[in-house]
Amino acid sequence: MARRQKSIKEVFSAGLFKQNPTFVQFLGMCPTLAVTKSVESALGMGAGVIFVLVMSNLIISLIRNFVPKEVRIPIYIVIIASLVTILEMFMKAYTPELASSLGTFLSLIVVNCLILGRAEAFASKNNPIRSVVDGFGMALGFTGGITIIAIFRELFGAGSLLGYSIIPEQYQVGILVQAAGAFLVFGILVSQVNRIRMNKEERSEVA
Amino acid sequence: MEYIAIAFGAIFVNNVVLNQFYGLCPFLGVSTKKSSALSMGMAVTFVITLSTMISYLIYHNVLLKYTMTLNTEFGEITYNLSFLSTIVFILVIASFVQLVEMFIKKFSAPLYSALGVYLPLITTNCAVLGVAIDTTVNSERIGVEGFWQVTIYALGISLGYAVVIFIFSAIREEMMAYPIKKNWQGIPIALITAFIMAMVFYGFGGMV
Repeated sequence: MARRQKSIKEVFSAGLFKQNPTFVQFLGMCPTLAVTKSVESALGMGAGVIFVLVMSNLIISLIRNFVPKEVRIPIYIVIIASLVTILEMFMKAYTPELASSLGTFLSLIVVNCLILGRAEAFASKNNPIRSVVDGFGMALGFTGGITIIAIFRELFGAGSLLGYSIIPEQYQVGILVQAAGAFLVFGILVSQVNRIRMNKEERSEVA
Repeated sequence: MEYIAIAFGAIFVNNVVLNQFYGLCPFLGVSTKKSSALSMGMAVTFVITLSTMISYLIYHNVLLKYTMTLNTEFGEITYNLSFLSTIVFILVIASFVQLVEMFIKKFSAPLYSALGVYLPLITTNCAVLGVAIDTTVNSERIGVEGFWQVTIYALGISLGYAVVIFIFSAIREEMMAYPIKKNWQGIPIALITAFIMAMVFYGFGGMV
């Protein structure tokens, strides 16, 4: 192999920073905007994605040598859909409030491009240990990303954090917890992340 | 009249992109040119309407029909197959999209060249699965019932998608002519545009 294989540590940190699914790759944007109304539902969504992505990466990398190339995508989709169904039943049984606040987006983890994307780009080419690490890093990066958005929206929009009220009502910006506010907060955050990345690139070019 | 109210609500008030956040990836990805946005909108309208009708029929005639009663320690519990709905719907949608692609390829070359590239993308468009689930499993959330109401709702939702993605692409095409700061180019400014559009669409909320 001409290119050096990435070490496990690099695989893990890629998902957290350099290839962060939320702010850099823009994967799985529907849940990013939809469940960030409150920090609690963002964390719940993140936990769900961690479970599904780690398990799907593990299973797909275990069967990667037996799956015929032509039918791999349907097979991946069935595996992911089964995992999501397990998660759905589990959440409805043990955390019914969280399940109802996530609503349809719990089932929509199936079509989250992050999960199918990692299956196709990483798990189908790497061994199980590396795939699990990659899945965990990516899912953790996703959770971190949506949690940051949710902190901004909940703190300034509803004046609370995890249900504890912090900012009094007359200083709240109500639009942020409505649907439109999600676009605003996410847009501003992405532009600032871009600015930091560009500054970094410029500095590394000068040095 | 009630059908008109459902359709209007689905197109404008509960707009699929701006209010429910379904199908954002193609919304931001494909909307840089008016022509491709129009094709995408047409393809999505076609697929959402028909796949919602199919999944509604499957849900009510297959998944809810076959039940099994078990004697457990909690008493008699009746199970049906509705827990399989996510798996069944995604398979139905994926195979339906595949079928449509083959059909169009065979019978209409101009339509295929207009929609062909977008059809495979639609399988992972969460609007398709989202509407299918909303109209069956979570139907109390949107308040439509019966086959025809669901069909009208799905048609309205998908037309709403087409309308919004077309307007959005027109704005983005126009925006190309203006200098935008480097860190705002691309996705960030598109998100801000979507924010303003969502605010505008709130105005329709008072009409239903």
